[in-house]
Amino acid sequence: MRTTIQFGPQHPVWIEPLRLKLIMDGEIVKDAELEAGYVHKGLEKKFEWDYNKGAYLSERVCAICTQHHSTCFCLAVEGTMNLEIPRRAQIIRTIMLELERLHSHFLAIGLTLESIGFENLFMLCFRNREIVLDVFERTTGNRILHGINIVGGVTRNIGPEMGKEILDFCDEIEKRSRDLEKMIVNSYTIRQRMQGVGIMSEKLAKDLCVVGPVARGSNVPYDVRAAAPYLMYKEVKVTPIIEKDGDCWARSIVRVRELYQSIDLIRQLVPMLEGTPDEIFAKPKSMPEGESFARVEPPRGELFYYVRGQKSIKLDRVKIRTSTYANGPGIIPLIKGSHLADVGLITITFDPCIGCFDR
Amino acid sequence: MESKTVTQAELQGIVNNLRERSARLITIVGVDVGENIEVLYFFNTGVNLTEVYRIIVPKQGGNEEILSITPLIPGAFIAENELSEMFGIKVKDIPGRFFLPPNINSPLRRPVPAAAKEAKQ
Repeated sequence: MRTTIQFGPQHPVWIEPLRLKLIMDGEIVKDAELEAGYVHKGLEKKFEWDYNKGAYLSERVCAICTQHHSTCFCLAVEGTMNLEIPRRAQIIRTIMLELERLHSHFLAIGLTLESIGFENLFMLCFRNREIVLDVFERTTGNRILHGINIVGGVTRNIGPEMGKEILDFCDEIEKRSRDLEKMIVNSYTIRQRMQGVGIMSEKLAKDLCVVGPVARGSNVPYDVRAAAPYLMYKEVKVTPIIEKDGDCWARSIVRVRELYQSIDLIRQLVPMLEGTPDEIFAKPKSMPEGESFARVEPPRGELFYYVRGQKSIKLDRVKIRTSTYANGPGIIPLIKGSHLADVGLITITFDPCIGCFDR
Repeated sequence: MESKTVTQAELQGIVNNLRERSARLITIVGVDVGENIEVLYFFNTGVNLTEVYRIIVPKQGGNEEILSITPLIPGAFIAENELSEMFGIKVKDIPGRFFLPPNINSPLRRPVPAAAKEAKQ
């Protein structure tokens, strides 16, 4: 018997509103429609104002990838001015980006585990995430909306004591990540629940141009840190982490492995601060003029900002292409043919951010 | 930022070629520049390589239509829908609604500057 089920817009598996209209044949999803726009804020229009306030606004696009949004916006605006920021500011920005990847991946792994009934592991992930947020609070003064990026550099320095604290934090978080990994990878139940579910083939991933762990879980080695290195990624090399199976398990394992990659990158970046001049800001000498774009690799995948200046303090046009925007089309083919009980799990392994999607 | 201005017919051939070269579509950006709407197609074509193609669509009071690249690159579906709903350009065989409710039309479209209108007349 065919039934229509409205999955969302308010559904416990997602924090934010997104609606899936599922046409069911018994327990199997025969067809699905995706409807977004519930939290559309018209932010691209709002960006047509003072470029100095743009970094502040860009952080509000997404509450998880705040540092990535403001960094990408600043890189795009700096591109319109041919402005090179000081090396120390580049290092600080990159450290913050990797810290953000850590806390976002803990969130994504936790939510994935919660969606299959492991609330205790969700709590454990959030306990680990909490100590990353503590480091953010100590370094930037804020836990989520860090507010340290401005066009031309950053507003907060990282001194030697804080550098040491960050390195100590790396030891602690690595230990905790290993414990967590053991629990997940050695769990027969979790593995059985996730393996073979929601498979995205390599061809489909390439056709849909999906990004981040969704692409890398399907054997597509696309990581902007390697494909178009920016900031300090030009010096600290990143090799994309890939898994071949394309299922929920593969996407989650990519995130687990990327935790160690980020820790390793932070360990390489912090010593670079030593001996680097204390300059963290370069004053822009001109107004944004012409067009420029920037790409960065947030935890969910490639983020893109296009900026068009008009030789005035006001920007003419800003376009944001977020990770979930790129991954959105991949949800429907994966849930078609799946069981209703798997719809939540499949969608959550995309780590969807609806605030980013709608903007 | 370097870009190449092409016609719609040329773009179809270029996208076909890019697809064969395993290029990835990054996104499609619409910009209202007064008399025209410019549509920019961003592709990642390799390490540190991007190609940007621009088509110029003269404004015709909301009757503009462009060809879709979604049949060639399915990943363009959302971007083409958004382009349509934000700028009021019809994209052939694309519904043209994704994020916005039906009562909001072309919020990023600007009026044609008076000087350009006079020049046309």
